[in-house]
Amino acid sequence: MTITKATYTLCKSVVAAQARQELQELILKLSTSAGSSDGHFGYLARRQGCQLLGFLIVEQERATISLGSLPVFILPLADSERMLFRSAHAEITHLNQLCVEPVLSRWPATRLALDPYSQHVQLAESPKANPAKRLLSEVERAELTQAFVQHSGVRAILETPAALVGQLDDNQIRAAVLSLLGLIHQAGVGHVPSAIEQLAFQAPRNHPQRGVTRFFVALLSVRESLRSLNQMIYQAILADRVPVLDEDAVISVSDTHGNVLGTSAVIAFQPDADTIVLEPGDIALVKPIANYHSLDGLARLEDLRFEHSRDYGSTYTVSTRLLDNDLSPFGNLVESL
Amino acid sequence: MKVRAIQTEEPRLEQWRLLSRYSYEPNIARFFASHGAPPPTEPLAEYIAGCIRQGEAYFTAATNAPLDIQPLLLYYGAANLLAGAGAMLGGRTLPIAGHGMNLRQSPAGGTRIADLEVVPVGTTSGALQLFTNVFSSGTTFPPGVPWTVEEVLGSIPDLKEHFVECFPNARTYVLAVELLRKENVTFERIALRQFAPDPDPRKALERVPSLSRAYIRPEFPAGGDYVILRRKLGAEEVGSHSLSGGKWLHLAHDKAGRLVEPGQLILMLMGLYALGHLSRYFPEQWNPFVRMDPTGERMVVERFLQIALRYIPNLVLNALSSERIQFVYPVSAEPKVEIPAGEEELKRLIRRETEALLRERTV
Repeated sequence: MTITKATYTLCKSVVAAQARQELQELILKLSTSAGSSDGHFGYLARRQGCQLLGFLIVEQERATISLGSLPVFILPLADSERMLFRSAHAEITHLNQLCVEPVLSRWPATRLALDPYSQHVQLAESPKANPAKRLLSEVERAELTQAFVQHSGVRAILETPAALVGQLDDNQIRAAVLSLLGLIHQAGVGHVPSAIEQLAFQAPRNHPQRGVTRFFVALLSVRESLRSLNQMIYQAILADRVPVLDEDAVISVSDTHGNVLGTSAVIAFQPDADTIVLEPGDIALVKPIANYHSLDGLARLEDLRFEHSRDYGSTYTVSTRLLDNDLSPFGNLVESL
Repeated sequence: MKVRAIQTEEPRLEQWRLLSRYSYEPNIARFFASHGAPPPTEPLAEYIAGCIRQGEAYFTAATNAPLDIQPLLLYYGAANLLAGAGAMLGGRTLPIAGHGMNLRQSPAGGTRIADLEVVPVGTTSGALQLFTNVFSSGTTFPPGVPWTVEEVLGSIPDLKEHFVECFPNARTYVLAVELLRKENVTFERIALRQFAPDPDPRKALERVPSLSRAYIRPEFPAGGDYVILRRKLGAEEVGSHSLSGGKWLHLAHDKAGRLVEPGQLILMLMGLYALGHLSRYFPEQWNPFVRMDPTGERMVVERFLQIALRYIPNLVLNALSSERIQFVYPVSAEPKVEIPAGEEELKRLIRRETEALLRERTV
């Protein structure tokens, strides 16, 4: 079973979980003007770009936020609410660790690099899962962790000779992976950073830099898969289905690129009730349109532009990176190096 | 449908010049061959040629005929033309026995021309249904269910402006569509006032055939004056085009619980039948209308006849060629050099200005 398929199955179980409804209602309450914080809590949490952790960060940092440039007063969460977020987040981070357990056993120093939350504000106290508020089903969780064994990045990491990167510590590896990610983001969707392009196409197969970069790229790919997985779970808490960009929504598809990094496209669509809430970082399902484009699968939305006018209507234009069967936007790069 | 622009100063003559090719057997045979059909028999070729020739003769006669007889001439012309073209497209003569429609006074009364009713009959041998089978495939007229002349005239795109002026409270069945382009994306919109007097534009749009197959869900921006329509990628276009090339969507007519939208060619035939039949068999009603216009409908009727005179041959040509033929007046103007020729040139100008700015900063 592929990681994507296992994730879908897991998300179905999330939708059916009892704790999901409580979480959904809580997030809704914090995100709408009817809630106690007039929607500011949810807005600031979403801006963190780290799913449930965003709510815990906002709560932890609310004193600092109130002193900031925005005149926002954030009320603390009730104990039960805080525990609900902490428990669900703890389950997700535990799942992440289980997914990369073979890598962590061999390369413990990759822990920070693989943690999709490592660049965010750290919580003062590690959250713990509450068995009474279970969100993730054990059976589906086990299937997913099993699927991760076949992740192309996981296999590439495990094949890397110890001599190549063995002397690096947690922070060095994390810094290398994040700088790689920074380079890719800087280049923008559809473009390949020149350093990566040169290495992929000009450096000889046995060039030592190639092996080292492949190791970091593999780590990045696995990290991004975990990020996608966490996002899928988060979206499953909020909605029953992944938003779909198909012939009933898509207005145009342009700048389609298939390159050494993966596949990307700029998609313009007319929002509906499911897609109007999309934000950068969210995942949508892109469906092919006969005689027009053949893009098919989950895609991460990056830059997003919303235009609205009474005379021309509403359009969203999003830069997307398609996710492979490992839920990674950069799986192709692992294979190319 | 592919659009072909033909430059001419005389569209009426030019369209008949193109149609009259089919007054000759070799051209008819070539048409059959290009459609993968066996060569026409001699009687079939003669039938087609005769229909086209008579069609042209009636239309030519109608051009300068007085209103007293113009509708009848146009109806005969249209019927001949559709019979000939129908035989070309169907590969055989249509088994026509009768008009396939009757004219009657409205049972509810009413003295206007618009109150008259056309009643489709004879669905297997009537000309109306047989022509519809060829030129508006898939449309079936429920027999015996009447169509008022008002709703027929209210369904002709080029007539809408005059129709609304003449019948301000009547429902219309056509919506003018504006085509707009923004950042390489073409979309369409309809002014909400187009739906008047229909109180609910959303409900009205549901009566546009194949709307959901052609468009993404219509968007009604809050407080706006338009409904926005975005074409589904790769979907076939729906609607029709007026003489001037403007796009229109047609609202189907509710006939005995079925939505029927026969297209403007067939609707014009129905309108001509009503007016032709009225003038031929009910001069006691037609004559006062021609002389005194007691109901104030003459303007819209005359305009309708002018549209039929010009557009029916054009629509038949379109059907024969599977193209939308648009006759345009020849123009020659020097390109304005100060306006960028297109997106690429605009990008080049922006790039040049940006580079100049960057150079200034570097220096």
